[in-house]
Amino acid sequence: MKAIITILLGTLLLSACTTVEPWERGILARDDMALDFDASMSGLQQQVYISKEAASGSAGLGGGGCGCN
Amino acid sequence: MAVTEKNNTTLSALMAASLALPALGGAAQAAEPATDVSASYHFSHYHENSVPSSKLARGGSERYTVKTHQVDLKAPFLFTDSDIELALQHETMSGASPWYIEPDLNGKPVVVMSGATSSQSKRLINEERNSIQSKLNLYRGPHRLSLTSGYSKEKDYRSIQAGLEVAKEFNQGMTTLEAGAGFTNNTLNPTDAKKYQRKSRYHNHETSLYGGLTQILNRHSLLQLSVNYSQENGFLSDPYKFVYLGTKLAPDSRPERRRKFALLSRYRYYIEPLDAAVHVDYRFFRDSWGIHSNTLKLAWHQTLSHGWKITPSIRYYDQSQADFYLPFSYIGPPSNLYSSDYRLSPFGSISGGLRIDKTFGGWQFALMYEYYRSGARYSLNHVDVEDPALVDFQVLSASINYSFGQ
Repeated sequence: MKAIITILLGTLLLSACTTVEPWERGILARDDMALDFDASMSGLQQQVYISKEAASGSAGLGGGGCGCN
Repeated sequence: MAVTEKNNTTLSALMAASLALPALGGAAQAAEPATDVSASYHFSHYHENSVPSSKLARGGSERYTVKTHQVDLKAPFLFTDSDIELALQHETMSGASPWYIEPDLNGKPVVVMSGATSSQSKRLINEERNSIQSKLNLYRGPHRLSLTSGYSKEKDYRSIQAGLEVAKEFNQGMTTLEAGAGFTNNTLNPTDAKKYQRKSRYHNHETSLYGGLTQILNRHSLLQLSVNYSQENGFLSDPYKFVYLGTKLAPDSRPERRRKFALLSRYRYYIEPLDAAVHVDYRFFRDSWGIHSNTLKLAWHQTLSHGWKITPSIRYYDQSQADFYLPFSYIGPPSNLYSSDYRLSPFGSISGGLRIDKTFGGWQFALMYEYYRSGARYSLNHVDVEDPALVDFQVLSASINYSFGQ
C-alpha cells in the first residue's frame, strides 16, 4: 500500500512541473480547483470524523476541541 | 507602429486578465485579502443508526443526533491588505452513547448503552455546545500571516485555542510554503463525577505543528503535501466510559500523553473537455498509542449549465487498534491502561456523498448528503473481534452564502 502511494506521489511530482504564467492560471483559480472547496462544510465534516474515528490531522490548524461522545 | 500598438494591447489584456484572476483558493496559498463582505449560514443534521438488537445488551437502541447551526462572516479588516473570518456555531446533541462492552452468554461482545439503568438515566445526553472561531489574515506581497483563536463551551467541557500560520509564495507564485503552530487547552467537568468514579475537574492540552507545500504542476493541476505533528498531554480518558473486567466495571484508563503524526496530500486536476475537476485527498496517520490509519477521499466536481453543479464523492477510512484497546476481560486487565471505546478498535469505514450547488448573482446554495458505514469487514487488516458499538450514520447539510460585492 505504502509503495503504491509513494510511486503515485512521485509520479505526480515528476510529471512535467511546467511554468504557468499568472495569466494562464484561470483554471487553477476556479472555485472547484480550490484545495478547500467549501472550508466551512469541510470543517463540519472533519468535526464528525474526528469524533467517530481515532485519526485526525488536516492541512492547517484544526479548530477547538469538543467533548464528543 | 501598428505592430507596437498591437503588442501593447495584447500585453495590457494579459496583465488585466492576470490582475482580474481571483486568488487561488485553499488553505495553503498566500492568496490575497477579501475585498467584499460575504456571509453564510450552514445547517447540518447528523443522525446515527440504531444499535442492532443482536449487538445490544441493555439500554436504548437509539443513538446520537446532532443539529448544527453555523454562521460565517468574512470581510476586509481595518488595516489595508487584511481580512477577518468569523465562525459562530451552535449545536444541540441528544441520544445515548456506548457505555461499555460485555460478553453475552456465548462470549460474543454486546454493547451496554448509557441510560441502561434507571440510575444512569442522566447519561441520556441532552446538551448543547456553542463555539466561536476567528482568523485574522494579514497580507504583504507574497507573504501571509494568520492569527487564529477559538472558544468552545459545553456543560461539561470547555476548550480554548490559539494559533499562528505563515505562508510565502516562491517561484513566481508557482510554489507556496506554509507553516503553523497551535495550542489548545481543554477543561473537563464530568457530570455525576462521583457516580462515574471521577474527579470533578480534569485538564488536558494539545500543541500542534504543521508545514505544507503547494505546487502548481501545470495549467490544469496542483498538488499539496503537508505534515502535521501534535502532542496531547493530561487527562485523555473518556470520563463516561467503563471496561468490563469480569467481576467489576473499571473506568476508562488511557495514557496521559499522545503524540500524533499525519502526512497529507491533496491533488486537484481539471478535465477541460468535461468541465469537471477531480479531487484526490489522502492521509496517512499514526500515533504513540499504536494506531495507524489510511484515509482516501475522491470527489468529482461536475459543472452543469445555468449555475448548477453536482459533486459525488466517496471516502475510505481504515485504522488499527490502540495498544490498550480491550473490549472486555474475564480475568482482569493485562496492564493499568485499558479502554473499550469503539473509536480505538480496529475497523474500516466507507462513506458516499452527493452535493448539489446552485449559484446565481451573489447567492450560492448547497445541499449535501453523506452516508457512512463502518465495520470490521471494511478493514484492510484482519479483525479478530468486531466492536459492537461501531457506528453507521448519515448527515444532511444545507448552506446559503451571499457575497455583497457581486
